[in-house]
Amino acid sequence: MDTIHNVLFGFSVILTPVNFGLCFGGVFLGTLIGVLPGIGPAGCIALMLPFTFSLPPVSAVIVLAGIFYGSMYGGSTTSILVNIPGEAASVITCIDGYQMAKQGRAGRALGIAAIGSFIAGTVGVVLLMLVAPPLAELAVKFGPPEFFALIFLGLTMLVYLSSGSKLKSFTMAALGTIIGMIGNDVLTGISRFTFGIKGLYDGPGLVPVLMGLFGVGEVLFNIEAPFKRSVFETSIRGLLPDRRDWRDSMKPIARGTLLGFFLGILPGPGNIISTFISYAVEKKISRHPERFGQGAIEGVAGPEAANNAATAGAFIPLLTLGIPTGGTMALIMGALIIHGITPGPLLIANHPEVFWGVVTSMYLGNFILLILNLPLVGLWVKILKVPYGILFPLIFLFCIIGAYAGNLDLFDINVMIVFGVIGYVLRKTGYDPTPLVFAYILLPLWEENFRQSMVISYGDLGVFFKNPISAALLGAGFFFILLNLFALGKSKKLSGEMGEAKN
Amino acid sequence: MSRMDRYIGVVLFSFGLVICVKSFAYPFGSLRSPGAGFFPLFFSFLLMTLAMAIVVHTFLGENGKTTAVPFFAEKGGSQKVLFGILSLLAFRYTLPRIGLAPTTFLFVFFLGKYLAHYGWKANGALAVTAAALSYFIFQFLLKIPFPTGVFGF
Repeated sequence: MDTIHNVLFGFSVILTPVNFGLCFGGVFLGTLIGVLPGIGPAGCIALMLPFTFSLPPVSAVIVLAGIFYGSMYGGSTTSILVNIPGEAASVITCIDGYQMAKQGRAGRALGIAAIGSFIAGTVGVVLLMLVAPPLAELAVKFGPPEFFALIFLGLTMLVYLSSGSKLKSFTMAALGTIIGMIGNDVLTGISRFTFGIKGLYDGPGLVPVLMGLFGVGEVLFNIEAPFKRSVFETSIRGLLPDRRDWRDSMKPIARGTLLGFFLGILPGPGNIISTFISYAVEKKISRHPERFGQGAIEGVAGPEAANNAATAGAFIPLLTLGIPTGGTMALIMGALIIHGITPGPLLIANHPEVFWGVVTSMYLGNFILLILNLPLVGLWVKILKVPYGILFPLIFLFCIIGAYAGNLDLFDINVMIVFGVIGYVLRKTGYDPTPLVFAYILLPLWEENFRQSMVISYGDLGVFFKNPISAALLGAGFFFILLNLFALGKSKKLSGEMGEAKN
Repeated sequence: MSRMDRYIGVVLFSFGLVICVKSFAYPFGSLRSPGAGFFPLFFSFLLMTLAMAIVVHTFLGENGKTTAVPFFAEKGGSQKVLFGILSLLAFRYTLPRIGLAPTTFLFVFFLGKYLAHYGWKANGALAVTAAALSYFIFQFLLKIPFPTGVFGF
């Protein structure tokens, strides 16, 4: 009964002209960003952050959340029509989606992607609504040792699940913690690593760092190659799936929804991982696995449902525990902090309008996305044809203005450029910036909780192991470190065997 | 691992070393009351260790042979990236002198001309549009106080 009251309260927050308009704007922008390769949801959220400063916190998060799950929808359009994923979570959709387009079934592919995403997104929001409040009540019992252990687990799990070399990911996490220490120490006020630069007294600044890493770095990476992109020329017809399409898609959508939601809760790129696992599961259990890769509709329905359900799942640790599961969630967390709201166990109690407003905005947003994605497919196809040569100067411009607008300090543009170069080098050399961002954002909380734990325990490191919750969380964190070391050892052994085979 | 990883490992190790040395300037405190230097010292050591592991890995992996993957795979790639970075710096230092709209015009014009290779007219039109929109949206509508420069707007 309480849940129903809370949902109604959430609707009273979202169904104001301003919030409704912002929700629409957010999902529209998110879909646009998802359609356009070259900038992902993280970059777009980083760009939009400064422009949400003048909005109330709930409105700001509604816009940013809309961009996030909107981009999941939009990414599938590019995957199906251009065979280029609009964003990382749509990579798998390219495999069968593009084949369907080549067979003249682009409309069906787009339709099932949109409908499957709507179903999964809506179910995901219902699950979020049911799981989050009890989890928040549990988390209220967390003290500094538990929070320290939780962040430690989040970091080690994120490193394990991140792409590429585990050693590189760990290094990025260590680098992120050090960058997070630049500026005034939270507990003593001592300036650390500012080297006399006034602009660094409050740290490098979340917005310039994120704009640099995800915006400028991404564009520098893209401008290196020639700007060529061909859109598959086909008429889009028959967007609604027929009976056979429904029969083939319903179970993959159901499986993808559950898989995506629970994987989305875990630290790491849950929306990307869930698509790969969903595809693998559907192929494994299919009676005709040979159809996968040749235009099997299940290969589109399952992964698209998974990535949308994962976005709902990703909000759970952020809103209830204050732990972002990846770079995009970290950005949304940054937005909440900038607005003076600390996400965590007390968010639902202290700011119910934020939690329930965001949850109900996701219901509404999913509905708006279904309306946007089906009839406006023609518009997205036209937008796909906008040359990157026109887009990238505008992306640069937004990054610069966004970096400046936060503190009205030209030094922040310098910071953005430095991190842009860093982001470019990281992308070129296979270093995933997500652990860096995660560690950078969480470092103040992590360090504060560690130091508080030491003070309350009079310097006894056993405080982390005496409490069963923190012991379990730390144990799980060390388990992931062992898994990382095992993965590292396995890759060395494999490269050694390959070396011997070559000789 | 590629040869580039070796260089990055060295850079990260050096950065960690600088942080480590600087950490000694802050109070370390004790386990009962960790000071401002406690975390920096620990993580700088961790970073140096991991960076060294990357460097060592480039020597040990594949019998010590690293892949010599060119950093700039495309011909002319380095010039494009450098031009992009210099354009950003030029924007940053031009902005306080001439204001947002003229800076935006020059920025978009030169990026479009030299990176996207559009013609003068197309570039001009795009640059004027971008300058007008940026002034209207950010200075007029959102009232973000940008430096006005010599032109007064």
